[in-house]
Amino acid sequence: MTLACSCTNLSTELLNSYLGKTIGDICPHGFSDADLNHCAHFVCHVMNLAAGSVTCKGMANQAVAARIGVCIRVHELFAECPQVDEANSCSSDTFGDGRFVFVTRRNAVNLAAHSMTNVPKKHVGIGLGNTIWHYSNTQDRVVTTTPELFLYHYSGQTNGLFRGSFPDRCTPTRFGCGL
Amino acid sequence: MNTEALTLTLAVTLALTASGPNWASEASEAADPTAGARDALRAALQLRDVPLTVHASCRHAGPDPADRTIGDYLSGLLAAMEQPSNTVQARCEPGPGRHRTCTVWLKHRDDEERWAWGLAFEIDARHRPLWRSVRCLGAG
Repeated sequence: MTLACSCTNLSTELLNSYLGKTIGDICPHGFSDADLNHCAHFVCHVMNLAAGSVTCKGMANQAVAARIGVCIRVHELFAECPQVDEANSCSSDTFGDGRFVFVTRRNAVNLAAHSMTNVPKKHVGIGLGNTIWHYSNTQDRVVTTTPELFLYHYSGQTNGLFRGSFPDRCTPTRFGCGL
Repeated sequence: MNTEALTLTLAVTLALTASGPNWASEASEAADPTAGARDALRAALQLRDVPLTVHASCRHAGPDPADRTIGDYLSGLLAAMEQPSNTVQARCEPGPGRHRTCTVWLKHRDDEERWAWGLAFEIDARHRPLWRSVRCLGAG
């Protein structure tokens, strides 16, 4: 167990350890209300990223003192990324060695101001290479997809696909090894 | 806890979840199980002019960049609930001292679009909201 939890490099193997897991499996604080959108919550548990005005620990009724609380809001996560840009085309390595990947209405993002408006239709996953791991709200579990499909996550609007680099304090951990 | 759902003609389902009776409105809630929910919603409406700077959880929570107040915040969310599968949940529970703690949730489900945002605040014995207690709820 110690060896399995010692890896801190983001990898396909690490991300695949979350596949099929529900947010109830992932969040140690039991913040798993099925009515909520847990996309930011999921990626921030993978990266052990506490950020934003509220965390899952702060919102939970059964918080575990020894475990950290993580960011749960997409627009607050976007603002935390040191560098953000729009992915205007996809390749076999769209996300390189790892990026947060955001999809929302294009004009909800102001790249120059490094901000995203809290519009209802927005989603985030973790991209590595050309694959995105994200929390599916309809399936209530972690799944993978491609950037081409992720771009059409929401219908009825012109979406943009945005990338955000990981803050330095991010520490990716396998499922079951969170800080 | 008593729960009563109301279906409105705009295809918006209001699930008004009222808290159990307490000292502040025991008589009214005994007669009307939605009384706690109405207290919460009435108080939330009274908070309309409170600035979003009231708390960090609200500061950037408005669904439009021009949003400045709790009224803007709630209006933007309600405007996004134009399609079916919407729920409003409101309740008040015994809080600190003679106050009650209220929550109002606006929830939406439409395929992969799922969100729930809302407010938490306290009301006094006269059902008046305490604006400094306002917090914005929600994730995603």
